[in-house]
Amino acid sequence: MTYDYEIHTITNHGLGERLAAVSREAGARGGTIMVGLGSASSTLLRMLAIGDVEKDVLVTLVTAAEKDAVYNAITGNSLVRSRKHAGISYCIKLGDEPVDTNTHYELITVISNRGYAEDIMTAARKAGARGGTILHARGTGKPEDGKFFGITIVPEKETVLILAERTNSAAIKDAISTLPCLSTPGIGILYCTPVSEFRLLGKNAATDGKK
Amino acid sequence: MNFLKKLKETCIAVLPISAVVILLALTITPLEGALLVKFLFGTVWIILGLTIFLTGCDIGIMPAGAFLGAALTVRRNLPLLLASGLLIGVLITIAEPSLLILGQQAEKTTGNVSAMTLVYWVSAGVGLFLVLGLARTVFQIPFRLIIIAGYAVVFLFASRISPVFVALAFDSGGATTGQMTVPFIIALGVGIFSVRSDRSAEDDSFGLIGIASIGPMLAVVLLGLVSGTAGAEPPVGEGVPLVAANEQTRSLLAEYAVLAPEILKTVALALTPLAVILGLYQIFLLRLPPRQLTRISIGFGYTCIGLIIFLLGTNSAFIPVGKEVGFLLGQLDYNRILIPLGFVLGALVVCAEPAIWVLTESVEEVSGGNIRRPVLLTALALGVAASVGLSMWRVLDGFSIWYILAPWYAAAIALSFACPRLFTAIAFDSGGVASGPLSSTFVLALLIGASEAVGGNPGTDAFGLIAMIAVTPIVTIQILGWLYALYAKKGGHA
Repeated sequence: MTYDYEIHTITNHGLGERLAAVSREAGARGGTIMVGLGSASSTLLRMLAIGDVEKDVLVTLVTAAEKDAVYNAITGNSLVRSRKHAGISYCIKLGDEPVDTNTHYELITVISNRGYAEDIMTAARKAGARGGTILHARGTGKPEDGKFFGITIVPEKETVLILAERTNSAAIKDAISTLPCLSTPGIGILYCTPVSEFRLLGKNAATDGKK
Repeated sequence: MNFLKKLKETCIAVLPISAVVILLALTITPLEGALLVKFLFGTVWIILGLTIFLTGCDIGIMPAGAFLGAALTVRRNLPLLLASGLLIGVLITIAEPSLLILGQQAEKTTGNVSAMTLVYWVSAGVGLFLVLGLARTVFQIPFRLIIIAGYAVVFLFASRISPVFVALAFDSGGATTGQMTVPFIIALGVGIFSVRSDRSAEDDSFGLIGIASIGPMLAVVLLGLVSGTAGAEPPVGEGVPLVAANEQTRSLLAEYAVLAPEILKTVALALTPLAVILGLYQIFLLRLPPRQLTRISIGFGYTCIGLIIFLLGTNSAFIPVGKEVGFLLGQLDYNRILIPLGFVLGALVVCAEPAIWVLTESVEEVSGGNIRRPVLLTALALGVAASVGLSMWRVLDGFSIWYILAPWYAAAIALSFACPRLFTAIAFDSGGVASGPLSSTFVLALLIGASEAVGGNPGTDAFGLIAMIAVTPIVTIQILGWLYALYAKKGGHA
């Protein structure tokens, strides 16, 4: 069977399981939860380096028929609605059909060697990004992978997810790709995915996230 | 937010002990008003200091360790890895607050070993054994072999030195693996193993602390051999003024003013070498990007500030009050009450230690959820409660520490044959984890006070407490692991 949409929900740590259950009730077949780090919205807390918050990233694959029910179930969940800010949720259209271009948002994904995420986030923020989520990951299959006394070595990676408005996504991409510390070849990659729908989660969330 | 979470954890860790002290102060051991006020302030300092310190560890020390571990392994240069292990093991241990506090108390109580001598010897021991631990994973030497050989050597030498050093040696093993060392060594291990993809990587990521904590024991035992029998007849009961009289008459501020420069010096002495060496690694090996570097530096700043505030709290309040309460309890006609009190304190210390929560989580994980957290926590609490209770008994009756340590360690090693390897590694790791900042400050001080009151020899009777707390989880977790293995063999997956 083929899925038509991938729904990403980035929410407070601990809410992921709940939302996965909710989306299953609404018809989704499953879901994957990853734990990421979100950086604080307050500049002061960021400066003091104590603002990091753990986030759950829930990935759900759905068919076109199921999408609306699942998406509404996640964003309309009462637990989510009861909080002031509970993260974001967006859909990515899969398949080769041309993407609906009237959306305002784009997902910027940066995969880099471990340790660069802070610098990437700082540059992105300066260029207008409102936030981002950092996931720890491991790379695989590079020629440098080698053995060390029978131990196989795999490079550590960091993945940064930034949801940006189309109007300033180019600026953010430029800011990241021109970072001096990312100038070494092979240090990472960056790509964009159009997002077909986007909603803020929480009490004050406007339904289309235009706020 | 991680700061608030840490604050909550430290409150849970410290407040129960404070409550017990206040309860005692209001009932059987009336404390002077001034001392009580000092204690209350001290509680606040300790909570605040520990919170800032742990936050600093999270954003500075831990990432630094993990980056370093990964960078060192990726180089695939064995001499570099081992030399770095030695250097880092030594420097991180010099910076360990629990060890410093133990050293200071040992200096004041026994009078035949200076705090810094102890710290340097122990650090060398940790460095060497960290190298051994790293080499073990590279050459795939069985964990049990190193543990048995290590303890055999320690016990062999320990039987030939004065009892003061025996107690101190085993205490050092527990104290060394404190708030600073454990996160850093774990992070280093995690860093090293995170770049591995083979199957035994997870199994090998435990055990590093267990091996590293043999180092200090061996180092202090050797220190005992070197300094000969000088410590064989420690001055009984007279070494120190019980509770320095002027300490109580001095006003709170004046006392802080006296303590602060001393603490600043200690902290600077402890953290500078580590900062310098990490700086060098940054220049030549790590080359972290600027923002990440700033972040780690900020974390270092927190660690430093937190440590200063924490030490201010322990030195001005927890240690003197602990001694005073212990002394008053020891003077009571019914001083046997110390034994049940020790039991209560032991249970409180375990349940309150933040590191224990991390440990129970990882055990739950590796046992596939079969060893539930409450089960393990209860087992640990009972074990440590018994240990502290026994230590109190030892203070009152002054019997040799060998009667307690020998059977425990024998059991620990015997169990390593019966229980799955992963559990053995976790068990030996957790030994140091159970003995946190509260046991090396308040509970130890209380024992020293009590020992002085009953006219015992604090040098041999009170010390050994941390060792007792440290050996308990080794046995407890292995028993649970053994039961789990039996259960799994029966094919019983409920």
